[in-house]
Amino acid sequence: MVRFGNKTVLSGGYITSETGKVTGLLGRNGAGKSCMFRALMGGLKVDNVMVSIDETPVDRQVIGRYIKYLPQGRMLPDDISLYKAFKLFGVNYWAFVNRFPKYTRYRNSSIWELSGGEARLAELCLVLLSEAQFYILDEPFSQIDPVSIEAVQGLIRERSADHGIIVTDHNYDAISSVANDLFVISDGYTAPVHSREDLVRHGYLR
Amino acid sequence: MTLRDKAFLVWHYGKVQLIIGCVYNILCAQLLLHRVSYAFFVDVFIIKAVIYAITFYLVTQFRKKDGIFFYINLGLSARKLQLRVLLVDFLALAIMLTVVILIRG
Repeated sequence: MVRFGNKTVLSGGYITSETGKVTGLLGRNGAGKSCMFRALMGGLKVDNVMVSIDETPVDRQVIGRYIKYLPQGRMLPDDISLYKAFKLFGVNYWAFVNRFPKYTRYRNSSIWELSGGEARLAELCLVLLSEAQFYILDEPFSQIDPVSIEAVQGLIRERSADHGIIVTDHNYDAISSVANDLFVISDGYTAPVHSREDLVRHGYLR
Repeated sequence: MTLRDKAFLVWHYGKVQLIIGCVYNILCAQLLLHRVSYAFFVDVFIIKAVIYAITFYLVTQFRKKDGIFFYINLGLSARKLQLRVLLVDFLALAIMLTVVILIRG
């Protein structure tokens, strides 16, 4: 359970991800999507969080070795160059530049020197290109221009071939075009989505 | 991740605490070197712990909300990083006090 003051944000959550699949998570603002991810990754203290891979519990002190998470806000520190950050994550910066050539000139730049969209794209690629079994992407399409969204969708599909990916975003079209399974968080609980009517019933769409 | 990378991350995560700790260590070493008796040693560690707790609280309050995920994604937990910073800080104090004892004889 996640509570802020008297408000219960999340009563219970359950989400699965399979290698080779992209799982989409939808929910209205304040529904608890990010809280669930933050709790899962250890960025928010809550009781009774259980993460397991192939039915083996994951040591949450080192969860980043197995699951990489793109948070909603800025993750990279302001005083580390992009190149250094990629090096720490074990990602070849030039492989990233091959996909997005304009980042050649940002090699020694800090994240604050980039525009909001450029920083978001760099963080997204840093997470998705680093080694892990699963990825959780919290609003990966926010701040990103339509052309880059297509490239990001391509990258998500490519990485999902041998990884499991969970994506949440308010860009319904972008998320539904990459997701194999959809879930919605409503009234503090997660529920599977099989049709557009399910989203209407849970108050996410009209 | 290499040892150098780990050291870099500990420094990066705890640099405010380490800088404040270093200033305090130098101050204590100066005091012990010239004026104060050895009885002050216990107080040095108690004050150090209080300063560390206050700095930790302030740093945690003003840190970027999602900045912690940079370290978590690298397979480190906030608790582990904090323990390493604490260890380095107290080790530096212990080394400095040992040097003072050796100088004073």
